[in-house]
Amino acid sequence: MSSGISRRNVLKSLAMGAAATSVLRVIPAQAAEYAHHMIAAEKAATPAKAYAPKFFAAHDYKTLQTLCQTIFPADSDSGGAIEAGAPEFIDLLTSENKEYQAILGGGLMWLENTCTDRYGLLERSAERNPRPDRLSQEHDFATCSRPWRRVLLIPPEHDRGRFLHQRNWN
Amino acid sequence: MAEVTRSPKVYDVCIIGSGAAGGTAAKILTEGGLNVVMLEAGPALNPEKDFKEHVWPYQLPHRGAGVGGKASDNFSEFLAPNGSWEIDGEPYTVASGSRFHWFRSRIVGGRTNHWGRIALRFAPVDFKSRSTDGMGDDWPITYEDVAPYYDKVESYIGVFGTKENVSSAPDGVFMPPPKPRCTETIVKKACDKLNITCIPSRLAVITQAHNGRPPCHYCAQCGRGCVSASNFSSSQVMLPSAEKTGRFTLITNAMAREIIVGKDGKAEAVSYIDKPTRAEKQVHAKAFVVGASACESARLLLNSKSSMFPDGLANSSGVIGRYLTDSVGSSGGGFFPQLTTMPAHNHDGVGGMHMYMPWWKFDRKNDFLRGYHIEFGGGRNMPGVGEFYELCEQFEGYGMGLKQKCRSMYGTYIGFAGRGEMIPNEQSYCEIDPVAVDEWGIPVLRFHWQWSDNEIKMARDMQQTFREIVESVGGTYYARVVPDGPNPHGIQDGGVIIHELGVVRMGTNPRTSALNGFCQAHDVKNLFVTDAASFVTNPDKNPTLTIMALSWRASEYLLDQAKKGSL
Repeated sequence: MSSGISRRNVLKSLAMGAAATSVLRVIPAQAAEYAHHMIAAEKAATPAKAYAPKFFAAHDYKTLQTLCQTIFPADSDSGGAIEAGAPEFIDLLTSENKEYQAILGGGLMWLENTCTDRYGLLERSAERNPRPDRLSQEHDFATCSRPWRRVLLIPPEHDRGRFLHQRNWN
Repeated sequence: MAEVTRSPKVYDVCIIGSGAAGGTAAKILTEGGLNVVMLEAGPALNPEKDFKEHVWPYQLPHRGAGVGGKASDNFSEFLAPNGSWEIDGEPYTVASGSRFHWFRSRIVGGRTNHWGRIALRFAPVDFKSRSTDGMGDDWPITYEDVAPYYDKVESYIGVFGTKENVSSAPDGVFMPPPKPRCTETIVKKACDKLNITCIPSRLAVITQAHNGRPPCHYCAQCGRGCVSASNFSSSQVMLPSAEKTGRFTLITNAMAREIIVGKDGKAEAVSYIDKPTRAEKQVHAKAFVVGASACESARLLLNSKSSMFPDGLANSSGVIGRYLTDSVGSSGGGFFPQLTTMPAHNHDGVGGMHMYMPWWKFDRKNDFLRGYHIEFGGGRNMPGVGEFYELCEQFEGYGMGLKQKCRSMYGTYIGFAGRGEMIPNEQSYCEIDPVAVDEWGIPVLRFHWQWSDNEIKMARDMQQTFREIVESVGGTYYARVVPDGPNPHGIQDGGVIIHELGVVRMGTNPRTSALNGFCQAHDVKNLFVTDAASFVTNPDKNPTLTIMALSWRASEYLLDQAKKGSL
């Protein structure tokens, strides 16, 4: 990737190359390819490192991964929460936020406890039971996974943000 | 006490604030031949570095949610470095029983780096409120006075829109608008059924090359700041033209403390803190333009006390801080089943709505005075953190069922937000807090806030209208709204819409207003306040375009007076 290609140049090519008459116009293929290569080059420049959890202990982190996988699995069309990096994201945010630490750290302990009480065998389920489907037969799981999803999907504080923060606020 | 450094130079004009008001004044005054110095409380802006345009959520470790997930307070970490609801070291207070939020910016360009670019003219009737319905006050100027300046501003910054002849929403100088998105055609259809006016929106985003700025490339990310300056910001559109004159000096990280008055009763200097060194400095000028944002401008004047002006500079009327208003805001949204089968398509467009509903019920009697417009948006936005929160709250289950639900629901939601006119009242104002100070010892503002029945009735009407629109085309309406409590009918707390203004209002009578129709202080001839503090009323139109028109007009007047030697 030539270092002479700056973000600004790409932007210019995007803006100039498009037909002025068409509004919902297609980004010129050449410019799109440029942008694609630029991002790929940026990524390649930083060697991929395995994520080291900052908050969750190793076995808890595995449980977290299993939960993520169970709540939002991969399928033939796309990856799931694991491929999207949800466990890393949750761990990073939790390491920085006391409220999440209480909900998620405590919640995970509660989940383990509950599972141990009910199923004995399923303690530390993530490590010992590679098939989370037994867990998923229990409707209870939908309830106990809620706090996880709540943090995964942080609600915007202001309601104007909820609907409009992507593009339409002023 | 820190040593005060005096600048030996006397500039023609000192402008305080670099946003919509300050930027416009800088352009006009420097192009008119004056030497101008500008104080900005925040740092310089570097779009290439500061704007996160075209960055994907997965490219940021926090995906836009910020450290500890806290960026949702400030909308998102993707946004231009525009400011926040809380600023370290710079508190403000809210009187007990009041609810008010103050969004402040500390960067060159101010809030114009992030604003929604909604550029609406006030209507003729908006300048004559009291004559029309007996409430509030008339402006000392008319639509005809301001119209030529709307023309100038629109011609210079570039605004898209269409000629529609809607009396509540005067037409302007427009570039061609982008076509409606799929979601917008559905809403338009609903509005046609209900006889609600729905027309192309008017946004300060250029759709044709203009003054060396390339046209919009439709990435839908205006709020992140625009590297190609295809949307309007003071930092990228106003200030470069001032710099080009060679008569413009910008001092960043300069927090104004006080405007100092000479023996002749005229303003002669601004005392400010150089933030990096915490040194107290002064800059001298022959005239002053205050555009620090409405409440910050009021704060500066109220803090500029002297024996000649014991209640604050230019405040012999006692009105500074009073008649604080914000827009009436209430919102909700709908699920549109027809969108579940919509094939995936490019839905980006500009960073804002392509259509909107101007106030349409001006021709009949309503159970409230004044009016509101409706903004809306939805569909296949770039998904971000929180995108499926509502869905997960409602959907019982997980696994493939949840995933399929997310897929089918993505892009099927359209949100609506009303923006209405609040009538100024005696209970909504700001004043200097008797105790609290900021980190430089500058006394801070204390806010008092109360909505009146008129605004609450307006919010109720908004909710009814949103529901009708959604249901008329087979959708399901959702809003977490109750008719009572602190936010009846979903009315937002004061300040949340970020249209807070009116605290240094203009008027013909010096006993009931601080400024004349040219934003010039009645008490201090060489002092102008050209931001939205000068507004007499807060019509349902977003204030930025009018701020620029008034600042342009005031600056031409200032130039003229300076030439005549009568400042």
